[in-house]
Order: sequence, then structure tokens, then C-alpha cells
Amino acid sequence: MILTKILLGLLQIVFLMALAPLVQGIIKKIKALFQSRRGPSIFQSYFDLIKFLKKDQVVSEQASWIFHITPYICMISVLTVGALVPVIGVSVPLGFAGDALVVVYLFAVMRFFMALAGLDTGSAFGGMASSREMMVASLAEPALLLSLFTLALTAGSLNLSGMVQKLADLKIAVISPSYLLVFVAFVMVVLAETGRIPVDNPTTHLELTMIHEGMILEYSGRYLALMEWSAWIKQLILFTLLANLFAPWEIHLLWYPPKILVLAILVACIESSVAKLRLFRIPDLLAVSTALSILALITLVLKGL
Amino acid sequence: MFRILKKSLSTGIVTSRYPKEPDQAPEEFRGRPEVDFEKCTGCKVCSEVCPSRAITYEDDLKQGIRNWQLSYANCIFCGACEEQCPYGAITLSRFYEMASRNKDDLLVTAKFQLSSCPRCGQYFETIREIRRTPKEVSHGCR
Amino acid sequence: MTDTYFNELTTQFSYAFLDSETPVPDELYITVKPEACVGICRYLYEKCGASLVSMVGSDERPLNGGFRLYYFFSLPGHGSSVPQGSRSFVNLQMKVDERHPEFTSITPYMPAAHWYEREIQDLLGLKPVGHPDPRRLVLHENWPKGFYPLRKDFDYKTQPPRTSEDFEMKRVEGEGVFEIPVGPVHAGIIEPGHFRFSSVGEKILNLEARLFYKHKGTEKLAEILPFTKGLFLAERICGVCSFSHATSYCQALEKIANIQIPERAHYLRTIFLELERLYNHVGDVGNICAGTGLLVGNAQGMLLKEKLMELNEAITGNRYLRGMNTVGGLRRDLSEEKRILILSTLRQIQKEFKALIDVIMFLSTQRDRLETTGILSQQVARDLGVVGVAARASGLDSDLRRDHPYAAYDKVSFKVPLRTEGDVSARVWIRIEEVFESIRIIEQLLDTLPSGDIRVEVKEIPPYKYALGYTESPRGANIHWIMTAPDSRLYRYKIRSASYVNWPAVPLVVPGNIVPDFPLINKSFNLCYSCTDL
Repeated sequence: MILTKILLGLLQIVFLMALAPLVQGIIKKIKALFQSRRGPSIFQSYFDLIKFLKKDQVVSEQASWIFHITPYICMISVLTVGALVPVIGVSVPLGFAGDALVVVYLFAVMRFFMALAGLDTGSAFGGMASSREMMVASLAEPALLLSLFTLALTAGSLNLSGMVQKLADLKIAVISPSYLLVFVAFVMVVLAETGRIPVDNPTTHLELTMIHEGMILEYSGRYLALMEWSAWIKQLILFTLLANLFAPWEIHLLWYPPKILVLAILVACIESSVAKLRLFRIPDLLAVSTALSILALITLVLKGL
Repeated sequence: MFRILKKSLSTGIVTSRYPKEPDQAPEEFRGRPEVDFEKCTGCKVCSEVCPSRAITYEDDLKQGIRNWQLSYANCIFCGACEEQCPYGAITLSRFYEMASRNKDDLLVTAKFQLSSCPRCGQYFETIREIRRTPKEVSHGCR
Repeated sequence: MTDTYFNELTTQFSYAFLDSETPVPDELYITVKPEACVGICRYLYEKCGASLVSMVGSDERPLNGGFRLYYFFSLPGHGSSVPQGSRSFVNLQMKVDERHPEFTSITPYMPAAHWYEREIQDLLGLKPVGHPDPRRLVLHENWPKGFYPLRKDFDYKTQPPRTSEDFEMKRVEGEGVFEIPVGPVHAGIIEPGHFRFSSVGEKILNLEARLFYKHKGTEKLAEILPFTKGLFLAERICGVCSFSHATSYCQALEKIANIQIPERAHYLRTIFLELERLYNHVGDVGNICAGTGLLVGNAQGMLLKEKLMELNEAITGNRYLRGMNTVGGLRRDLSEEKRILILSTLRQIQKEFKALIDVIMFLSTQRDRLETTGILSQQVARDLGVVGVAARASGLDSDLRRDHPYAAYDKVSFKVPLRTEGDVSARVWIRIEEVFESIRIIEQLLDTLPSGDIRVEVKEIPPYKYALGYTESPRGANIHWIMTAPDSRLYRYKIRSASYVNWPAVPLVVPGNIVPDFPLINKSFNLCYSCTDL
């Protein structure tokens, strides 16, 4: 019994690992189409990973052990999250080990080490990016927590499986003003967490404007593969959360791909239609997200729990 | 927000699969210089007008040979040689895909037999050039 | 026109005047005593409202036993009652003794001179006495002291030993001040330049830009080439202003040789100059979107730019309009089919560009990035002699096409857009308005295109004559000064590009902005390194 659970958990992790580059490839492809380009194949991210894994690494002489362990910590924490989140079934094989809060804080661990690694080599861009990432994180984290809390209040549980189950049980009644507000807030947070326009520009080459890319600027070869891959898995997990929390019906293998595809298209559309925000406007965006979550919470309380 | 997406969707895909679908340069294009050695006399006007020393020559006065050379690696495709060649032997073609791993692939060389001066016996100009312009059979030696 | 100023000057400074001549119609050269030079420059700048457009140092020791400095003033500044088209250049020249290779700096009074004087110090070894910042500019620390490449006794093949010294960057010190070195190698396909930011958090306190990493010795090389080959060098000073540079070069030599090129050649040159402005401005507007992360806008801008460059290729055989100009006219004519091709393409571009502007420039997130970012004040612009789009976005109404008409610009009517905000948005809007004006100019010219020859043969040019050749390139006034040598060669070729005068303004605009906005500010000026690092 335990063994099956562990096996299923591992299977889920492998599933996420295998699918994450494809999702990234699809987003890139859609963005390319919006830019009137043919764009690379949707499997390009897999080729990139293979290429990175084959390449030599260049590591700065100034780099300490933090620089070396960060890629592994990022990968491990993101994979742990992957085991805790309901993906293609409501029940999570390893769900007993943690709830929504663990998810948020495992992401925080990942970010903490990434910021340290950015500072570690002493490069000017890394330091700058780390400081920006911390600024964004300090605002995105409460917004994410608040939106999860609102959902937890509706569902009466902080356990992700439980939440999804309760929400699904509510059927059409789940769609309330607070639910929709939280959805908008959650999308904003996902944009910030995955380093996408309007918060960060994942395709820029301008080091002075980078956030996420700036922190991993010094990485190459296998480490870079791990960093990129873990970021893609994180993105997929956030999409999965969005899909399963806000469309908590038909959670099985058949409906999972279309849901993720819709989200990928949504993100690509948002990225293609707005300019990147001025750095000091990002707090405004995330403040809106937080405010929406609070509003949702209030609506919920007023309605009577 | 939606106008910009509409704009981009109405544009469609504009890039081409370049290496697979060849891209033809327009007629006016100045690409790889092609030399017609039937017409060329080795008169070296081209090497004199070439601003980037892509066309060079060297006279081997012992053997009586003029070694002429055109290097696409140095060529700036200005068309000065095409314009100044008295025999119309050089044309800048529409061909532009000249990338090569080996610089020797970018060389065009030719040898021209030199004629010796009837007075002092020194080699001075190619036989073909003298045939084209028979007036100048000597090179001004005393 | 120059007479009134000349009379004023003569009464004021009669004691200092040695000689004056007008070798070409719109240029007055006055030889002055070195000790009075600063005074006359100040008089021209402060009283007459003239602006310094170039400054040249020349080694004329083989000719008259000394160095010579030339100061070029454009007379008068805008706003005077002088009718359009009659403005001219007053040029001062003074001798610098070989035994005392120094001159009094005018930079304390005219900041616009600061780079010229530092360049003269580097390349000719003449010391500007009293210069507030006499550090090296053009030649870097790896170039040994005492080697002055523009002196005539310096052979162009000389390979001086490499040295390494430290270059002192300006530092800002204090708690929490962070120094960010960027470049000279950058991500993306751009040229080398080192930028040193001093910032507190994201706010920039100071920026120092160090350029000239690719000093190519263009001016020295021009001195060994015959004028026919020099043209190809001028065409390759920079890619995106290629036709402007070539036209400046040709116009200077045509003035020296005193030849009138056919009317049709004037018209065609003007058309190509405007086509160059078009593809640059359209590309720049698209590129601004890359700076703001508006990816679709960038892609659409690139698409329009590509269409314009393909048009260039179809009509001239070169995407950058190279190989068309020649001293005496043009090398290739424009056929009737091509005339129609230009007209139809431009009509389409006009429509599509307008649609694009409507979409991208009114997007709130885009406007938020552009407005109030990187403000260049009118005072700074005037002091540094800023030209082109940057000047017109800061309220300086200057445009060589209108102020000193050349080619066929006196035959067409066009507006010179002007804005006063001086921010990124103003610079973008100036470009947008100029795109539509350019299309109007080309249409007018194509409608009235005269027939006839396109070229007069120029076999040789007289020695020791000099003249200015100038164009308003997409980036601004582009001023070449040529002095000829025997055998149809050049004695001295001074290239002053628009980028050269605008670069010093960038570090002054940036402080007070935040670090991630710098790429955007830089893009809004869109200056060329290659034009600067001659």
C-alpha cells in the first residue's frame, strides 16, 4: 500500500518533469506566432536541456558552495512540491506530508537560494537581480498566501486535495464573486512567480532589466539545465494549481492537457499584449493582487461562512 | 490590449524557412563578383580601383607570369571593379551565400602569361592585354 | 549673410584678425591670433547665438610649419530674423606653434567643445590648457603616450607597443552606493561601450560612459587613399547612416572641385537620404518596444523596417543604400518601374505604420514606461550642442535640411517636428512625425523628378582646398570637413557624426532614473558607436 503510494508519487513527479519543458515550448511557440514568427518547435525546450547537459560548465572563481548546491536545492524543493499537489487526480499520493502552506514555503526556499546564488559570484547583475527578486517576492508571497487562504476558507481545509475535493463538490455554486476575485489575484501572482511580462521579461537580453534571468546569469552547463528545468516545473505546478483550484471538475488525465493548454494560451496572450511595467510599478500590480484577495476574503466573510 | 492581439493575428506569419526555402536577391543586388576569363586580359585595372585590396596581382618577372587573385573574404561588394573593367569581364552576381569554413574556398586565382619588352627584354604586361591594345608594345624603357 | 556678422566681428576684434577668405560660397574662414581665439569664440557663441558644429585639428607642419585648429560655427541659431536658407558657417582658424603644442581650451565657456579638445589632445598631441577634464578619450590606456596618430610623421602602419595604465573613472562614494559596471561586451548584437553606474538601490546617481573601444583609424586611413576609394570608406563609417556619410563626403568634394551635379542626382540623393531616415526611424520606434517588453510592437516594427530595407535592396541593390553615391552624382539611375515601386511601397508603409502607432503608442503600460523617463533639458541640449531627434525633442529647433538646405531640400516643403518635453516619449514621437514627413518629401520629389544625367565625371580634385559637407542623418547633423592634398588625395578628413555630439548627453540624462530604465533611455537616443569610434 505504502509502496504503491510512493510509486504513484514518484510517477507524478516524473510526469511533471517530463511535461514541464513542453508547456514552456508551447508558450514560446504561441508568443512567436503573436510576433508573426514561425518560432522554434514546441519541443525546443527538451533540445535545450539536452544541450545544456552536454555542455561544459564555467564557474566563477569567486563562487562558494552556495553556488554549487543551489541548482540541486531548487530542483529538490520544486519536485517535493510536485509530490504534494493534486495533478491528474484529486487525491495526492504523498498528500499526508503537507498542505498549501508547505507549497508556498518550499517555493520560498527555492527563491532564497536562488537569490543567494545570484549574490554569490559577486557579479553586478546577479546582485541587482537578487534584490529585485526579493522585492517582488515580499509582495507576491502574501498575495499568494491570501488567495490560498480565501480558497481554504471556502473549502474548509488547507490540505490541497481536500480543497480541490470540496470545491468540486460545490459544483456550480463554487462560482461566487470571491472565487472570481481570487482567480484574478492568483493569475497575477502566477505571472510574478513565473517571471513573465508585465513583471519580468523572460526573453530579454538586457541585463540591467533582468530579475529571474539575472540571478541565473552566471550558470552554465548542467547547473543551468537544472535551474531552467526547475523553473519550468515550478511554472507547470502553478498552472496545475490554477487549473485544479479554479476548474475543479473532471480532474483526470484526459482533461488535464486542455486545461493547461488554455492557461498557456492565456499567459501568452497577456505577455503579448502589455508592456513590461516600470520596476517600481510592480508593487502596484501585486498590491492589486493582494487587495483582490482581501476583498474576496471580506466578501466571503460578509456572505457568512 | 485586444487591438494589439488583433493586429498581430491579422498580420499572420511573415518569416520564411530560409535555408529550406531559398531567398532570391533582387536583380540590382551586388553579390559575389564573377570573372569571365574569356574576356579578361589581366590588365590589372580592377586591382587598382579595388578599395579593399580584394583583387591583387603579383608579377613573377623571372617566369613571366602574372598571378592574379580575387579574395571574396576581402571583397566589400562595392562594384568598383565591375564599373571600371574596360572589357566588361567582371559582374557582381546575385549570389550571396558565400560562408565557408576554409578561406581558400574564397579565392579565385588566375595566371596570365606576360610579354617581354622588345627593347630591354623585361616582362611588363600580359600578352592578352597587348593584343587588345596593340599601341603600347613597350613599357617606356629607354 | 556672413557679411553682417563679419562686419560686427571685424569692428570688435579687428586687432586679432589676420586674414579671411571665402573659398566656397557659404563658408567664411577667418584666421585669428591664437590669444584672441577664445574671446571670438565666446562672442560668436554668446552674442551671435552661433553653435559650434565641429572642431578640427590638423597637422600642417609640412605646409606652413605648424598645427592648425579650425572652429566651425553655424550662424545664427534658430529664432533670429534671418530668412531661411541663408544661414552659413563662420569658421575660425588659428595656428598652433610646433614648439608649444598647446592651446587655450574653450570648454569652460562652451561645453560642446569638450570632446573635440580631448580628441585633439589624443590624436595630435596638442594640449588644451584649462580643460576641466583632460583625461584620455579616443585612445585608451593600451596606447602608449607620445604616439599621436594623426600627425603626419606617424606612419599609418606603425604598431606602437601595448601599455597598460589605469583609467580613472569618476566614483560616487557613500553608504549604500553600489557600482554597476556594464560592458564593453554586451548581450545582444550591439557595439562595445563601457557604462559605469553608481546607484543607490535602483536609483542612478551617476553614469559614466566610456566609448572608443573600436577606434579604427578611419581619418588616418582616409589620408592615404585616393578620393575615389575614400568614398567607399566614408560609406562604411557606419551601417545605418551609410548614405548620409557618403553624401556628406561627396558634397564636400564637389564643393572643393567646384562642380555642379545634375539636378536629377540632387533629387535622387534626397530621396535616398529620406529612405535612410525612414528605415531608421521605423526600426527605432519598433526597437523602443523591445525596451519596454512590448514584444508584438517590436515584431511589427521590425516587419515594417524589413519591408523598407527590402525596398532599398530592390532599388539600389543594397539594404543600406551603399554603392549609389559617387563624387559627381550617382552611380545608378532610378527607372520608372522603381519609381512606381517606391510610391506604392511607401503608401502601404504609411498605412501600416499609422495603424501600428495607434496600437502601441496609446497603450497605457507603454505610455507609462515612456513618459517622464530620461528627460534631456533644453539647457543641457543647447550647452552640449545636441543635434537631431534628441535636440528637436528637447525644444531645440534645428534641422540642417531646413537651416542649411543641401541636395534638393530647397525644392520641397516639409515640417520640422518639435517637442519640448525632452523625455523618451518625445523622442519617439519626433521620429514618428518625421516618418510621415519623410514620406511626404519622397512623394513630392518623385512627382517632380527631373530627367537628365545623373553624374558628371570627376577625374581630379584641386589640392589644399577645404570645404564642409553636411547632411541631416537620421540621428542628426552629420558634418564632414575635407582638406585635399595633391594627386587627388585627402590631406585631412574630419568626420563629426551626430552620435559623436549626442553621446555626452546620455550620461547627463540618466541620473535620477532607475537602473532598469537605462536601456530604454539609451534606445530612445539610439546612438551609433561606430560613427563615434572613428
